[in-house]
Amino acid sequence: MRLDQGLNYVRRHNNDWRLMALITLFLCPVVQAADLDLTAYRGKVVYVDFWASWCAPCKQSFPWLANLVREYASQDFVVIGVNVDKDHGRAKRFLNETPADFAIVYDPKGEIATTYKVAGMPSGVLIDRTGHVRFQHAGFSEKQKGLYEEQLQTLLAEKIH
Amino acid sequence: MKNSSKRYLPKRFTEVFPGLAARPKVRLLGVLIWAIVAADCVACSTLGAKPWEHDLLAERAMQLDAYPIETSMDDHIYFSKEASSGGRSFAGGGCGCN
Amino acid sequence: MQLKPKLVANRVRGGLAAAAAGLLASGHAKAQEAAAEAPATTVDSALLVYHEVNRVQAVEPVVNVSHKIDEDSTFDFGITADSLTGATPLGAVSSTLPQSYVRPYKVVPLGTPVTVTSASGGSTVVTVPPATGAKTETLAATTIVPPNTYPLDHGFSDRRVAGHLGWDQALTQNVKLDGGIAYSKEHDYRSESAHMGLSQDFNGHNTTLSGAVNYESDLSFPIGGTPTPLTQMNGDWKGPDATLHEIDALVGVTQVMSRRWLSTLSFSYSIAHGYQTDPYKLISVVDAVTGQPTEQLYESRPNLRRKESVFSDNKVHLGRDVISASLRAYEDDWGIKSLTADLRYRWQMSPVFYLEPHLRYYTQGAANFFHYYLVSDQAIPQYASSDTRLAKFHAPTYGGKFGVALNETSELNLRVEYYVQHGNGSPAGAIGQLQQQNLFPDLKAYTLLLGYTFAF
Repeated sequence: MRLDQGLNYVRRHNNDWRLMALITLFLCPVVQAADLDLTAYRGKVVYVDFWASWCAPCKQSFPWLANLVREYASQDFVVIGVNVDKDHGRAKRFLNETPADFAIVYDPKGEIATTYKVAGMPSGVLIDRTGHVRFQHAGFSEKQKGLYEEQLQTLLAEKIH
Repeated sequence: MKNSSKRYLPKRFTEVFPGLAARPKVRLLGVLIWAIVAADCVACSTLGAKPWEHDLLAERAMQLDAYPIETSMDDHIYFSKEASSGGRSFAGGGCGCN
Repeated sequence: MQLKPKLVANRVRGGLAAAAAGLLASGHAKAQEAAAEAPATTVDSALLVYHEVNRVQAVEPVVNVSHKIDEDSTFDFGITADSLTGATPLGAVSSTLPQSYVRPYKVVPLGTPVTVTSASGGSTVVTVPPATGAKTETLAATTIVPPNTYPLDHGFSDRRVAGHLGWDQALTQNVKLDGGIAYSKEHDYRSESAHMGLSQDFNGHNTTLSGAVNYESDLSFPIGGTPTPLTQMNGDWKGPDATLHEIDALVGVTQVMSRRWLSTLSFSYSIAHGYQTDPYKLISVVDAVTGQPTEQLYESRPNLRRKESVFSDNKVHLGRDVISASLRAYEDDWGIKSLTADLRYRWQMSPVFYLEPHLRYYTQGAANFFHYYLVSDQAIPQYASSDTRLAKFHAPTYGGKFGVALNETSELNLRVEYYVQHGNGSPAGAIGQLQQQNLFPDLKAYTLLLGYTFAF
């Protein structure tokens, strides 16, 4: 069928709910969830931190993450900050005030966040040396720092043979 | 009496709207709508924004009580000039962090 | 003697405003969480200038401080003071003839020399003849109201001080507890209250259920004492202090509808038990034919009042600007029903400046014991008040606010509003000379609110 013939068909049958339902389902975009390519980090423990300029606890977590990098980089530990700001300018301003000592990836559409099923802001995802997600937590608090570090040390202790 | 036990039972949809009920398309549509609404009504779980989409909600202007002094001044003045008073809930919204 | 004019003329108001502030508190920490990043302390201050045309004027500074003790707890306190001058309606009807009103204001030892001078507001001091054997005498002030003038009570200035303390505590990632106390004191009224609230988030902080309870205890000690309701106005010292207790309960649900739309719905129920009459207000008894006032009685309101209201608020972010629209429906067992609609449009002119026009529309029905006046040949009802605050009227507010963001965490703003109350000044069935009187002159008020918020 040509396009205009097809459109006319739809116009004539616009009270046929079955056709309408079928078209709606078809037009619903299949979410092509983007992924973070971590193949380059195989063999390292990766902490993926989802943050945004409008998230107050995110600002508190940056210095702690920087400390972790300093302490454990020698053990093959990497932090990747995934920024979910829709406004890139705000993310840049945040980084000017609170510089990050780790790589930043920009995810304004939230595709990477969707893939990792981020449940709260900020979110931390700990990935082991084989590339599997082992621990994930939503929210950042002083009280939880100890637990997160313990989880990290568990993963660091695992060596790939 | 013969029908006394049934007097206060709700009538079936088909008895109240015999014309509509006779049309199969309407019945199917009705069932579909009901199914969608019922699913959506479950704890408002389909409404909302993803955790990483609370950027606008985090702004001061989007807080339910963004300017508390103004709100309490207004309440104070209107309460002294009018007969009504009413509590408002201000919990919720915001960046949703932690 | 001048009656004290009240911006917060009804004591209940002063107390409940503080209570309202208490019930509002649970949202304050959220606003801070969103707006502030590193700063732990936020100071919110303002100066209100209130001016009713030919009536009350007030100036009121207020400071609120909120301090984040740690990531889970916030402590806040605030104080406010206001200074009032001006006049309020007596509640009596105007007449084609001059009228005289008397109010006791001081008790002095017998024989104290008193200068019968005109005190401010055009009243003169008189000594009320003491009872035989009494060691004291009462001073009263009489006011003459000229013909065809709406009777107002011109008072001396009064001061009110109020304060509150509050605490917000996050119990888990989704549950928050808050509580607080408030206190308010003025020349003839004292109010104390305490509140507690709980809220829980669901669906990834998209849904919040909350509940709060407030308890308030007030003491009224009017100048001149508490009059016996529906007795004749005179200069004698009246009765003892009176108390009022109120409990309010509130439940609400807030739902993030989408990335741009926040909606909230709440239900509130209150029971007030105790003295709710305005001790200074009168209701005129008029002649059944001429409509001339024959006597002035002290008003009377029921001891019990149950109130219910439903409130809905919506905020929509349009990308740059924000629209807020709210609606409140209210009903109580005094027969009053009201509807309040509020609309604001925040035009974010630049990242620094915003202009926010504001429209509010309020309409209320009369209390079932509201009467413009009583008629001499009819039985006096059990409850009667001619206070126009209980009458049927509608009141629009037109306002605008201009704000400047000084930096990420501080803002300076100025709000100007104009409020008018339109009631029916010529009710049907008005008797005699009352047909030519305006029984409900429009109330017009201007407010100016200068605000400054900063954090450190």
